[in-house]
Amino acid sequence: VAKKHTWYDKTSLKPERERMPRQTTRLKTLQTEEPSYGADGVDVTLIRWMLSMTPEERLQVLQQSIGSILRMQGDKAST
Amino acid sequence: VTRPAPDFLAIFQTLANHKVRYIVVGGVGAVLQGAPIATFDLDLVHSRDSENIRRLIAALRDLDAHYRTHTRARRVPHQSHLSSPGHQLLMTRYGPLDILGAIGTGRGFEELSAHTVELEVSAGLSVQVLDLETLIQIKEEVGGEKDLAALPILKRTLKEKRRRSQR
Repeated sequence: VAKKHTWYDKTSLKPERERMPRQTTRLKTLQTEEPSYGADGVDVTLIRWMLSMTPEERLQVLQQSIGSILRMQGDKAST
Repeated sequence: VTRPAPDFLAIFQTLANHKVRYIVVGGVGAVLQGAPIATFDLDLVHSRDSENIRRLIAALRDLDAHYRTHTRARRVPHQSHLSSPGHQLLMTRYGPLDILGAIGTGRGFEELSAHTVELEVSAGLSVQVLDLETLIQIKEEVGGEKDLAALPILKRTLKEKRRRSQR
């Protein structure tokens, strides 16, 4: 019976980690990291981003967010 | 109808110029402590002693503050309003400002001041902010739809802060 050729034939002798496609390795890495969302559905990455700033910077982010929203509302109103 | 873009820093600076004693509560207080939420108004609980109210009235005059609930007649808050535990919902030249005599189950400045953190919002300008633990407690007490909606983010922020401080 002829052996069925598959895409990994040429690499089957390499150690498992080396054979693993790059994306699979990346996926495994992500799976071992902490989840982005908590059980409550809250995006923890945003919280960590905010906590990495000083209070002054957080206030600036808030001001900029409001400014963006108001500008978009203004654009909508004028169209 | 004029809709000034909120400038919280300008309001803080004006209040500091008049040496007004207050505590930042609500959404802006939560953001200053790291909660990723958007809010358009600034909520403050002020000290209701007569000297502070006199300073607050002067600051509100500088801010061109008037009741935003009265769209036709431009009414301004007086000493009697600011001495009460009630909520004064104002519009200023720098955006909406809510001056609150008491929050939750009637907690005023004196009671809340034991549960604050001092945070620098600009070089040389610091404000007293209600800590996240107490803010969460009060939102649970109030139990309004808007308050309850913010709770998961506030609780998760507090958890993350605690986790960081334990490192």
